[in-house]
Amino acid sequence: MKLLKRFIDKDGHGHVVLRAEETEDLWHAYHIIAIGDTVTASSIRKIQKESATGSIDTDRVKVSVSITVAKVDFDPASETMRLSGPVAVENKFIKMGAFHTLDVELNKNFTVEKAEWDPIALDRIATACEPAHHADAAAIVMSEGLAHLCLLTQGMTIVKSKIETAIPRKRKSAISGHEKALHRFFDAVMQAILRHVDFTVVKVLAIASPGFTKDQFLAYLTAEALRQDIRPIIENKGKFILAHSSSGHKHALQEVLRDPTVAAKLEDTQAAGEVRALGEFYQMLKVEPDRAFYGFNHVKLAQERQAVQTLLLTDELFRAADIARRKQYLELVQAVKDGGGEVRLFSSMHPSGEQLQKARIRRILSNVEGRA
Amino acid sequence: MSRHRNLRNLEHEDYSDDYDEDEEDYEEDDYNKIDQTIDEVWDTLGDGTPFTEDDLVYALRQTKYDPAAAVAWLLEGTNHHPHHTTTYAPSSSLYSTTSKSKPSHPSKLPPRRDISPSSLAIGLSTPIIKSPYTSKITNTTPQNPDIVPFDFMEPSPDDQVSSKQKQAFKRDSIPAKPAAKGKKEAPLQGDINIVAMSIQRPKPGKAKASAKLSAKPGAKSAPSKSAPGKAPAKAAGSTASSSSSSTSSSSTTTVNKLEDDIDAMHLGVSEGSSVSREEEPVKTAPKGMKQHSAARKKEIEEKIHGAVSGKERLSLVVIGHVDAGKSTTMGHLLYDLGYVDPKTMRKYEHESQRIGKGSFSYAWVLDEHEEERSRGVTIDVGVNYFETEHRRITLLDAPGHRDFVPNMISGATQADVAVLVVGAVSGEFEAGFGSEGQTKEHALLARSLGVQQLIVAVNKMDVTGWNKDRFDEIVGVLTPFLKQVGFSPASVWYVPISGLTGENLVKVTDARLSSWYDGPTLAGRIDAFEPAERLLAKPFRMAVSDVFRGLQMGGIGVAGKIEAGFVAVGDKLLIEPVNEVCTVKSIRADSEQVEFAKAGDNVDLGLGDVEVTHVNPGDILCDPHRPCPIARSFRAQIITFAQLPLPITAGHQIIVYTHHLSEAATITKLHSILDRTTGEVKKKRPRALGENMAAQVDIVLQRPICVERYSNYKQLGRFMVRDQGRSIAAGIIEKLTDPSSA
Repeated sequence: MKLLKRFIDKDGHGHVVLRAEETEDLWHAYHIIAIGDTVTASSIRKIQKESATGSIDTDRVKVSVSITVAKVDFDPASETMRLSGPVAVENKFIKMGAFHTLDVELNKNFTVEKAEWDPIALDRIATACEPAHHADAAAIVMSEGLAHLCLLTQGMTIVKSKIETAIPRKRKSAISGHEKALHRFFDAVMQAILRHVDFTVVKVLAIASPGFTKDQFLAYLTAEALRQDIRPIIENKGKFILAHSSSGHKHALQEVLRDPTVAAKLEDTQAAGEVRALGEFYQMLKVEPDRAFYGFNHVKLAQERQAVQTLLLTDELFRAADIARRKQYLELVQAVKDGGGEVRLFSSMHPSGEQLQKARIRRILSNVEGRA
Repeated sequence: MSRHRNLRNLEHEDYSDDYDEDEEDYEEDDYNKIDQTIDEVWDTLGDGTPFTEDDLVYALRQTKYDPAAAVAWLLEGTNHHPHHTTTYAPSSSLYSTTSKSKPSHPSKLPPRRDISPSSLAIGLSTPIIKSPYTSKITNTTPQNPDIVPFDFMEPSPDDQVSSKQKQAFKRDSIPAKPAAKGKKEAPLQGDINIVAMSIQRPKPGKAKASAKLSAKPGAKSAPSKSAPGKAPAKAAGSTASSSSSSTSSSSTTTVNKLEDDIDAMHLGVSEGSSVSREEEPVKTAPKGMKQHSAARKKEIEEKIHGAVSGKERLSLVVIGHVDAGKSTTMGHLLYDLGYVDPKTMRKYEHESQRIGKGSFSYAWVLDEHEEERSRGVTIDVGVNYFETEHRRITLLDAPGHRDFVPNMISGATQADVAVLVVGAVSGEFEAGFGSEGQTKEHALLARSLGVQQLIVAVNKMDVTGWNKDRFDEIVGVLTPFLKQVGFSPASVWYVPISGLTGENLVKVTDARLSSWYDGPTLAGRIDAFEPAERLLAKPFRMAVSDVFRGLQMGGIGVAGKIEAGFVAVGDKLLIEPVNEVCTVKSIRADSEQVEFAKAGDNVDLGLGDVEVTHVNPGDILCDPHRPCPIARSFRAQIITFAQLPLPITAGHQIIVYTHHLSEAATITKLHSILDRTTGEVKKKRPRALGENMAAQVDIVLQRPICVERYSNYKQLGRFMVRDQGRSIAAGIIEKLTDPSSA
C-alpha cells in the first residue's frame, strides 16, 4: 500500500489518499473503510442521453465519484473489493444521492474520508504501508479424499482450492479401484498446486496429512513432475516440507503452523504468531482458569481493575456497523494500552482468528494478571 | 355426540401440533438477536437473580431486543408476567412446557430453550413429561399428584420395540399383562388433551410396531405429512387393547442393557426433550414412493421369520494399540477356521519374507493394500466373514495407529461386540496403555459407540513363556479401567493367546498354558457372545461406509451395516442427503447373494437408477416414506474425556465423527454442565469445559449431514468429537435444531 496524501485534523477528521499494490492491501483497505465513510475514486458510469428527437444514447464515461459507503464487499479468493452507496458529491453526470458501485482496484488511487479516524485504522495504514517483508507461504492439508490448498499471507489465509473425491475403501475384489481413485485425487491436488501456487512468491509449501498420505503424495508429485517434466515443481523441490496434521479439514492448518519446522520458516507471518498466542490463552484457561477471561463484560470488568496483561481480539470487531459498539472496543483497547497491557489484533482470515471470532460471546479474550 | 366431540378435540390437538411447528420456526429466526442481547441482560442483572433465561427471552421479545428496556421491564414488576404469580420453587423448573395447548397465553409464550422456565408450568394444565435429570427431585417434592415422574424401570419405547421383535420372531406365547404406558396414564388425567399428549411419548417406531401386530402391515404409518406425533396417537387409539397386551411385557434383560448403556455414557436420554421434539418435520419424499408394496412387505417379513432359525449375525471389531497383533491374530484365526486356503497362505509367507517382514504373513490376510503391507501397518478397516458354531461373524479389523483413529471409528460404529488385543510383552502393554497409546482411547471409543461386550485378548503370551503372573497383572490393570469406561465386568472376558503361533485361537496345545488356563479359546469365546438387539420394526436405515464400482453388483455397490428395518431385492430406497431414489438390484451378505437382509446385517447392496456421484460414504439409505432428517446444527449431550489437550470453550473448532462421516464443526454454545451420574444441571452457561465432564452444548456443522436423534436411532445419534488428532468427547444428539426439509 502507498500512502500518497494524509490530511487529518487534530480532532480526527480528515482524509487520506491510498493506492493498493497487492491483494494483501485490499484486505487492509477492507478494514480501513467502514460504513459511513466517504470514498472517492475514478469509476465508469453509464450515462443516458436523450436527444431532441427522443432517441436514447448510452455513453460510458469515466468520472471521479465520491460515495458514502453503505456496503463493502470483499472476496479474497477473487481479489476484488466493491463499495456501494449514494453519491456524496454531485457532478455533471451523476446526481447527488444516486447509487453507485465503486471497484477498488490495484494500482489505482482512492481517497478515504472519515469523520473520525481512530487509532486502529491509523495503525492499519501504518502496517499496510510498511515495505513488505512478505513471507508468503502455501500449505496443503490433506487426508485421503479431502484436501485444502491454502495460501498464507501476512494477514490472510485464503483457501484457494478444496479437493474432494470419493475413494473406495479397501476390499477384496476392488483393490485397483482404490489405487486408481487415489491417483486421480493426487492428480487433482497437483493440478491445484500448479494453478494456484506462484513459486516466485511462495517461499515454502507445507504438505500436511495424517498417516502416510503426505509421503505418498510427495512421492507421486516428484515422480509425475519428472515424468511430465513439470519445471515449476522440479525446480522448487526444496520448498516442499512435510508436516503432520490430524485431518484434511481447514482448521487442521493450526496444527501445521504449530509445527516447529514450519513455524521457523513462517516466523514473520502473522498467522504463526496468532496460533501461539491463542495457544497460550487456552493453556492459561486450562491451568489457571481464574486468570483467563473471554466475553466483553468479563474482560471489561478485568480492565476496570487494571488487570489485563494481554488482550486478544479480532479485527472483525472494528468493522461493526454500530458506531457505539465500535467505540466501546476502541476505548477498551486504549484503556488496556494505557494500563501497560499488550493488545494483539487477530486477523479474522486466519483459522485462529476464526476460532476467536466463533467464541461467540463478544470475541474478546484476555490474559489477566492475578491482581483482581 | 360426546364421542364426536372427543374425536374433534383429538384432531384439533393434532392441528395445534402443526401450528407449533411454525412457532418453532419463528423462534429460530429470533435466536440470533436474542443471543446477542441476552448476555448483556444477564450481566446487568448479576448473579442471584430470580429470573430464568426464559424470562429474559420473554422480556427481550416484549421490548424488541433492547437489553436495557428488557431489564427495566423485568424489574418493573411481575404483574404483567403471568409466570411470576407463582413462587420460585426449585422443583418447579422441572416441568418443561411440552404441553401443546397453553390456554393462558398461547401466542406470546416464551420459546422453550435449554432450560425449562421456572414457575411457568405450575399454572398450566399438568404437564407430564419431564427430563430425567430432574425426576429425582420430583420424587422428593411432589407438588402435584397428577405429575407422574418418569420411571426408569419402565422399558423405553426402544426396548419395547426390540423386546417385541424378539417375541415376534420367536413366536413365543407371552402371558398378557395389562396396562400399556399410554393407557395407564389416561385415566389419571381424564382430559382428552392430556391423553393425546401422553400417548405421544411412544416414538413412531413403537406405534408402527403395535400397529403391525394388530393390523395389516400396510396400514402402519400415517401419511408422512402429518407430524409423527399423530401416528402414535392414532395407532394407540385404535389398537389400544391389542397393543397394551403385548407392549407391557417388559423384557428385563433389555431394560438392563439400556440402563447399562446410559450409565456407561453417564448421559441421560432426555425423554422429555424427545417428546417435545416430535414436531420435527417429516419430509415427504417423491410423492407416493414406497420402499415396497404392502404385499411384498408381508412376503419379506414371512421370509425373515422363516430364516430366523439360522445363526445369529454379529459384527465384531478388533481394536487395540498399534502392533498389538490385531491383524495377525485375526488372520491366523481365519486361517485356522479354514477361510484362507493354504496355497494363498504360503504365498503370503514367501512374499512377506522376501521384504523382510516374515512375521507379518498372517496380517497380510487382512492388510491387502500395497501401502499397508510394505509399512506393516493397517490403515483402513478390513472386513471379513467367518462362522462359528452358533454365530456368523462380520469381522472388522480396525487400524491401531493413532492417525487412523477416524477409520477405527468408522469400523467400530458398525460393531456389536469387540475384541481388544493387548500385547503382553513387558513394556509393550504399558506403552499401549499409557496416555500416548491407543488401548485406552479405543476402548473408550468402542464403548461410546455402543459396544457392550468385550473380549480382551492378551496377545504374545508365548514371548512371556505363558507366564500366568503377567496375565494376571494385565487383567488387574485393565479390569478397573474397563469398568470405569463403562463395561460391565460381567461382559468382559480375558483370553490369553498368541496370534503368531496360533495358540488358544481355536485350540490349546501348549502345556504351559493348559496347566493354568481352562477357559474357552478365542473362537469359543466369540461363539458365546450374546446376540444384539435389532431395530427390525423401524423404518429402514443404512449408513453407507463405502461406495465402489462392482460389475457383479450391477454397477454401483455400496457397503454398510443395516441399522434398522429390512430390505429386499427390488426395493426402492432414498439416498440422503442428495434425496435421490434408487432401486436395489442385488444384495450380498457374507460374500454370497441373498434376496433380503435385515437390521444388523453387514451387506453390500447393488444399486440401480442412480449416478455414482450421487452416493457417497456417509450417506444414509432410508425408506422413502420415512426419510432420515438432515441437519446442520443440533443440541447434544457430550461427555469429555480425560487428558483434554485444551479446555472446550464456545467457539471451539472440532471434527464430528458420526457413523461414516467426518465433518468440521464448531461448538457454538455451552448450555450447562451436568452431573455425570444424575444428569442434573450443575452449572448453567459455563465458560469452559474441563476433563471428564458431562455437558449440554450446541454444535453447528460446516454443512448439513444426515443424523438421527439418539432416542430414535441410537447408532445414528451417536457421535465422537476429535480435535488435533485426539478424541476429546463422545456425545449423543438430543435434538436437531434446524432439521431442513430437502
